[in-house]
Parts: sequence; C-alpha cells; structure tokens
Amino acid sequence: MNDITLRDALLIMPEIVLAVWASVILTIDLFLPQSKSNHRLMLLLSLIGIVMAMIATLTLAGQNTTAFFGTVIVDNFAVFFKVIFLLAAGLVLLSAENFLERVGENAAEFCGLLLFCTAGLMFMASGYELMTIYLALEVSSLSLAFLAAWNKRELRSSEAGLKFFVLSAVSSGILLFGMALMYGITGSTNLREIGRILTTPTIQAAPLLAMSMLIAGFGFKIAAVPFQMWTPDVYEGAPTPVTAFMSVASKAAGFAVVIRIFDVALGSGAIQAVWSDLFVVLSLLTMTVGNLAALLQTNLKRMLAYSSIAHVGYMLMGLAAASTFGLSSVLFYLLVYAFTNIGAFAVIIVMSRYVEGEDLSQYAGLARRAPLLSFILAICLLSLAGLPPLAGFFSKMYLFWAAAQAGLYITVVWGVLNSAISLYYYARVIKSMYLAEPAAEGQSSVSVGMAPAVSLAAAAIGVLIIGLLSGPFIQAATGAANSIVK
Amino acid sequence: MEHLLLHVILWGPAVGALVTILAGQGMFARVIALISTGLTLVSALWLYGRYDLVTGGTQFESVVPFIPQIGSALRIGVDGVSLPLVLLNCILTFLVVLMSWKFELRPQLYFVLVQFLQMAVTGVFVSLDLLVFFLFWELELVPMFLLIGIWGGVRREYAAMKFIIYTIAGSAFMLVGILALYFTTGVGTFDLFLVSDAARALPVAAQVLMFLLLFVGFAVKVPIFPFHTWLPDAHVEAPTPISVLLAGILLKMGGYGLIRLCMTLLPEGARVLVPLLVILGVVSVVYGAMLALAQINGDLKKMIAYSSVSHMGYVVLGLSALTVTGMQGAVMQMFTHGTITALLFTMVGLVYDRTHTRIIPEMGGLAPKMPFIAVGFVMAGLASLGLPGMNGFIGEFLVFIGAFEVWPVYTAIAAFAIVLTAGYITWMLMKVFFGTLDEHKWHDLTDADAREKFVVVALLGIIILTGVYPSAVADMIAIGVAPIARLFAA
Repeated sequence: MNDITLRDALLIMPEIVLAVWASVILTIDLFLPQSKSNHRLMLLLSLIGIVMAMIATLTLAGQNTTAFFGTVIVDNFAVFFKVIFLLAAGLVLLSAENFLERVGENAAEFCGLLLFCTAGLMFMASGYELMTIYLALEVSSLSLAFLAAWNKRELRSSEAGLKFFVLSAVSSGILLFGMALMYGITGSTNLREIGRILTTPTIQAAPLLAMSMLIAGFGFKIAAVPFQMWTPDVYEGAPTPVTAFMSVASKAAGFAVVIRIFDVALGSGAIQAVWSDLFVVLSLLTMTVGNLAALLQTNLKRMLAYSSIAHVGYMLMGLAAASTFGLSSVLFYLLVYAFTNIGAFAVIIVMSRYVEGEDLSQYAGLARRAPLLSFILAICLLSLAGLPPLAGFFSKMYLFWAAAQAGLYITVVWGVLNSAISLYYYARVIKSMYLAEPAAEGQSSVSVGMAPAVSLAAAAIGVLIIGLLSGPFIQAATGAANSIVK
Repeated sequence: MEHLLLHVILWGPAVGALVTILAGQGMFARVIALISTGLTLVSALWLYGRYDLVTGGTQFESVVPFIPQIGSALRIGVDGVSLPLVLLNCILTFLVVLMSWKFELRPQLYFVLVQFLQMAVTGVFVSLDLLVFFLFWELELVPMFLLIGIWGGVRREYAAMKFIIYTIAGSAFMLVGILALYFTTGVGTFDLFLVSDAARALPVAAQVLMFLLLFVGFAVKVPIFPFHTWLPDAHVEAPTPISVLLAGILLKMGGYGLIRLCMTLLPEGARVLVPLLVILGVVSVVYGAMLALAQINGDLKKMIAYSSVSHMGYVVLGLSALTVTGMQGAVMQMFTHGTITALLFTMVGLVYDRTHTRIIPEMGGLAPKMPFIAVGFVMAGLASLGLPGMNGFIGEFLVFIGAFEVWPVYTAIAAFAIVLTAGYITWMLMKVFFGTLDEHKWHDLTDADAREKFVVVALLGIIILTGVYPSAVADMIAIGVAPIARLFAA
C-alpha cells in the first residue's frame, strides 16, 4: 500500500478549505468585540470560503480516483453533490443576512457550523468506505443539531435541536449496527470490496438484516416513511435558514450515500432485487403519507416539511428503478429541488421580519404588499407541485420516466396522482397570497435587502430556466450517475 | 414566411404580457393588451386567408429545438381543425380586452394574465409535439385560476380551487397517457405525426387503456358528464369576460384534444369506446339542457353555463359518428358554440352590469329600458337554439346528419333536447325582457354604450356571416377532419 501523498490531500481540497476556513472564522470572531454588526463580516467571510471550495470542487470535475487508501473517492458523482451542497450553503447564507442580525445570536457560530456541516456533507458524498461515511455523517449531524438549536432564546429551536440530536443518535446507532454486520459478513468496510463479496445469487439472512438496518438508518436521515417522525417538529422549530439547508443539502447527502452504498456495495446479486422492491414500498408509503399530512397543515414551514417528505417519496422511485437513468433523474431532481425549496424558504426567511410565525393566514394578501416576493414563492410552490413549464415538472417527468422504463408502472401512476393531490396544498398558499384580503390594513411594504435578493433571484431563475433548458443539467446528472455505476 | 406569422400569433400575447409587466401602469395596460391582441387577430385572419384549401394538411409548420435528448421540439403548425380554433381564440381575446376596458381592480395584472392565457390556449391548438402540447395545456391553468380567484364573485376562491383541482386531476391522467404513448410506441420522440404512425399499430387493449387515460383529461375540460360539476361554479363566479373566454375557447381545448389525440392517435381504441362516448355525449346534451331549464327561476349565468354543457355534448356526439360529416359538425359546433356562448355571456354581463342581479325572477320587462341589449340577447338566444340563418344551426345540423347514419336512436334523443333548449331560452328571454317593468326599481337603467355595442355587433356579425355562408369555416374544417375520418373508413 502506498503512503499518503500530496495528491491525496489535493483530492479533498474542497473539504480542507471549508474546514480550515470555518476554524478561521471562529478564530477571528474571538478577537472581535461582540456586537450585532459582526454578522455581515461573518457572512462575507463564509461566502468567500464557499466560493473557494466551489472553485476547488470544480477543478476536480472529471476525476475518478480514490485517495487515502481507498477511503474517499473523487468522481463526477461526488462533484455533482458537492456543487449542490455548496450552492445550498451559499444561497442559504445569503438569504439569512437580515435574519442573523435580527435573532442576535452569535453569527460566527452559525456560519462556522454551517461550513463544518457542509464539509461533513461533502465527505459523505465522497465516502467510499463505511467508517468514513459514518464519521462524515456524524460531523454533519452534530453540526446540524447545534444549528437547529442556534436560536437559544426560542424554545421551539432548542426543542428542535434536542429532538434532532436524540433521534439522529438513535438512527446512527442502527446504522452502525448495520455497518458492523456488513463488516462481519464481508470482512471489509470498503464499498467496492463489499460489492465484490456480496454477489451471491441466493438471499441470505445476515446481509438482509444488515441491509435492513442500513435502510432504517438512512431512512431517518432522508426522512422516508416510516422513519420521518422527527421531520415536521425539527423543520418547524429550527431557525428557518437551517431548515432550508437541512431540507436540501442534508437530504441530498443522505441520497448520495444511499445511492453510493446500494449501487456499489449492494448493487449485484440477489440482494439488489430485494432493496429495489423495498424502495418501491418505501416510495409509495413516503409520498402518500407526506402528501396527505401536508394537506392538513396550516403552518407554512410544517407544510413544507411534509412536502419534503413527499418529495423523498418521489425520489425513492428513481432509486427503486435501479438504473443509470433512474440515478441521473434523482440527481437532476435533487438539483432542481435545491433551487426550488431554498427559494420557498428564502421567502419565509425574508417575511419572518414582517409576520408573526409562519401561519398561512399571515400570508393573506401578500401579493399586494410584496408582488415580487409572492411571485417567487408562487413559482417555487408550483414547481414543487410539478406544474409545467417550471423546473419541477421536468425533474418529476424524468423521474417518472425512469421508473416507467424500469417497469414500475403502478408506482408511476400513484406518483402522478400524488403530485396532483399535492397541488391542493401548494395552491392554498397561492390562493392565500393572491386571492385573500390582507389581515390588517396599513401593513408596511416589504423590503428584501441586497443579499436575500441575490439568493431569491438565483432560486427564481433556477426554477424558471432549469426545466426549459434542462439539456446541459441532465447531461451533468447523467455524467455523474455514469461515474458511479462503472 | 407565413410560418413566422404563426409564431407571431403564438408569442405575440406573451410579448404583450411582458411589456405590460414592465410598462403597463394604468391606461397603458389596456392599450398594450389591445395592440397585442389586435395584432394577433390580424395575423390570424391573414393566416386563415392564406391557408391552402387545395393541398390541405398541416401548413405553416416550423420546428425549434427544445429538449433534443428526449426527442421533444417546439413543433408548431395548423390544419383545418386547429386554424379555425386559433382564429376563434384571437377574436374572443381581442373582444374580451375591449369588454374589460373599464376594469378598475388591478388592471395591470388582469391584462397580463389575459394575454398569457391567450398564448397558452393558442399553444395547445398549434403544437404538433405531445410534450409541448401538455406544457401549454398546463400553462393555461394558473392564469385562469387567478382570473377567477381575484376578479370573480363572492365564492370566487372556492370556484377557482375547484377549477384547478378538477383540471389538474384530469391532466394527471393525461400526462400518464402521453408518457404511456411515448414508451409503448418506442419511437423516442414526442412528434405527433411519428407517434401517431406508431400508435395506430398498437394492440387494441393498449389503445383502449391509453384512450381512457387521455379521455379523462379532455372530458374534464369539455366538460362531459359526469365531469362537468366544476363548470357552473367557475362560470357563476368568474367575471363576465373570463366566462366568455372559459366557455368560448377553453372548453374547446377539450374537444380539440379528443379529436387530435384520442381519435387520431388511437383509432382502434376509439372504435371500441365510441358506444360509451356517444352515451356520455347524449347524456351531456339532455342532462345539460334539463339543468339549464331548472335554472329558470335561478341564476342567469348558471343557465348559460349548463347550456354550454348541453351544447358541448353535441361535439361529443358528432365525434362519435367517426365520419367526415360527424366530425366536421363537431368541430363546426365548437366554432359556432364559441361565438354564440361568447355572445350570450356578453349579454348576461351587460345586463348584470346594469341590474346588479343575475336572478331571473328579479328582472322583467327590461326591453324598453335597454332595447339594444334586448335585441342582442334575443338574437344570441335564437342562435343558441339553432335558428337557421345563424351559425348554431349549421353546427348542430351537421352533427345530426353525421351522427344519424351511425347512431339513429341516440341522435333522435339528442335532437329532442333542442326543444328543451328552445324552452329555456325563450322562457328566460320572456322573463327578463318582457312582461311588466318595475319602474321604481329599474328607473336608471341605460342601454349599451358604443364600446359594448361594437363587441355585440362584432360577435353577431360572425354568427350571421358564418350562418349564411358556412363554407367560410366549414370547408376548412372538412379538409381538416378528412384524414382523421379516413382512419375509420375501413
């Protein structure tokens, strides 16, 4: 076995940059006088870090090598996900500018933790060995738990943090069990090695048990039914920028790991057919429960939490397809979902300055006060509902298409019906914004601020054009999916 | 060069909408909308004149790449079936802009949405690509939702939600149908012609299934019994100009989809399902007319809305004949119903603007107070009940001739409904315009002003012109449906 060389370090440069930069930010904060105006500087620093990491990530595109004795891998698949994480982190930070100031907690902690978390997520996407994946997962989960509890003066926030911490510890435990079993069966933690050994044509109990535990563990992380219970409370209670980041980046990372493990380590032999069927069941359950529960919500954040569960259901359909096209459609879906969901949450973040809580009634008549903001929220929600010609329609179409190609016709029909149902609760928000009369007269007009405006604009442009010009994006997703299957 | 004109008709309203967003404060919104819809109307008339009736087929075709990876392109063109509907859309939207001239509530957004709607509807009629067709189909939803929801009556939010939920549920089935077509044919493209060549060769069972999937989407739009219940709510709550668009042109999207997708792509499926289709059509005709009759002491607008269900039933009846005459009648009926119902809703709007009520018994003897409106309404009513000399007669007559050869009993039942139509129309006219006038209540009623008269005269002109000289439209339609009917000739 070779020694660790500079080449290994270069391959994880984006993560190194982020982690170091996060430490730098925290250090700088030590020497600054504590004041509310720090948040702008912290934000700027974090964005610089993210841009640097993004550049480092993009230079790695096209690679397909492992580093550190095969524990991490850099391929297009990892790069694709890292771009999503960094985009999400950047957009969330931008949209949180006023929010950080208003809450008044330590902004450096927020920025630092977010960067640490992003670094953890990036390692997850690159992980090629069970322990590395587990450690990366823990880095990101711990950071997220603290981020969720960041708003110390808000009871809901502390509750969200604690809840997330406990439940993610439980799920990590289950995951670790699964991983240990896997190691016991195959004698290796390396995904490719496991894949090489687990090619038995018959199904055996031990790998099946290990696989079930992995599914349960990761089910928690991506909030698939029946492991979704924590999602609504945590999403509702956590500071909104954290919710946005969680719903997009952390979920995407979960999918990255699931795809990596199941397609590389468990991608052959009899077990492949088993998890493919299991994912079909999970997919049907998840989208149905998510959508039905979302129908009943009146709190916007909670509704988006259930909607995010429903979307996990759709995406599981692509995993169940177990084809390259299925994977690429999931990747494309995640990219679109990132823009769309961050756009929707960014509106909620901006509006949190003007309204009490996130109840739907607070958004009544918003179109009068803030036409542009309402428009962006409307197109984001319609895109989530999958209405053409918005990006969400195309991402859903590719997904259903891939599933249909794999012969999952029932699932596809169910998915289409589900997405028709989902329009109801999304349209209710639009109805409230555009059709309802404002709750009180003489409400002030809404000012968005520079940084959130950039984030909102980016999300809106993404929602409007990624679908219509989906060619290059789907190509990138296909490239990423191809790099893993080989 | 004319294929560029088709792009003007398609995208002109979108450009108009964009300009309105940027510079449409106050009066400008109306003027910009009038210019953009006027230009598209002139372009549509020009194109209508330039369509070569001798060669027939799809003309003014052009292709712009869209998503080459999945074989979808912005492929547009018109034939004898779609061109009259495109023209109808342009005429009605232009008149609707005039009708809405005095809207005070958020005019900028209103005219943006109207123009946007026009683009979406035109897009449905001109697309020769299944995916693009579906995109335009869905694009129409949101503007209509907002138009009903913001400018509608008391229960507007309920009506708007009902409209969007019904339609989206229908189009969900339609999307599954389109994807199923794409996969089972395996041609790797959404090109309508290529898909249809391959789809016709599919086994009957597959065709029946896909026909049903697509049918649900279109049946909601037409609307065919039992999918019609959203229509009265939407109509009663929608503002008058939007009712005109809804009944005049949006319902035709459903009929157009039936003939263009269901019948053309899946002829064997159509052959199997036609007995079901004809029953649903006749039930729509009779039941719609009965519901309209039941409104005689109720809401004027609801009556016209139910009459739409009844009249669109003739379209289904004509299509189920699967003959040239029947289909020609069906498409003709779409065109004529588009003009007549537009006029009827316009008249209802004019009456409502003055009396502020739509409840029929509350009115009476209004004719002396508003002679022009009374004459206009009577003419519209006569056209609706199929008086010869007006175009309503032509559409229904063709449908009856075509359908009678194949479905004599059903056609006879449907023809009986004309009696019901004559009943509710004349009864309603009598109650509203004749009888004794409550001088005290209606002392300050005024007749139509010049702008309103123009709209009425324009619509009436089209109704009489195409009634006396139906070939102006019917010839083109005959050429359009001929290749479709030929699929069923064997």
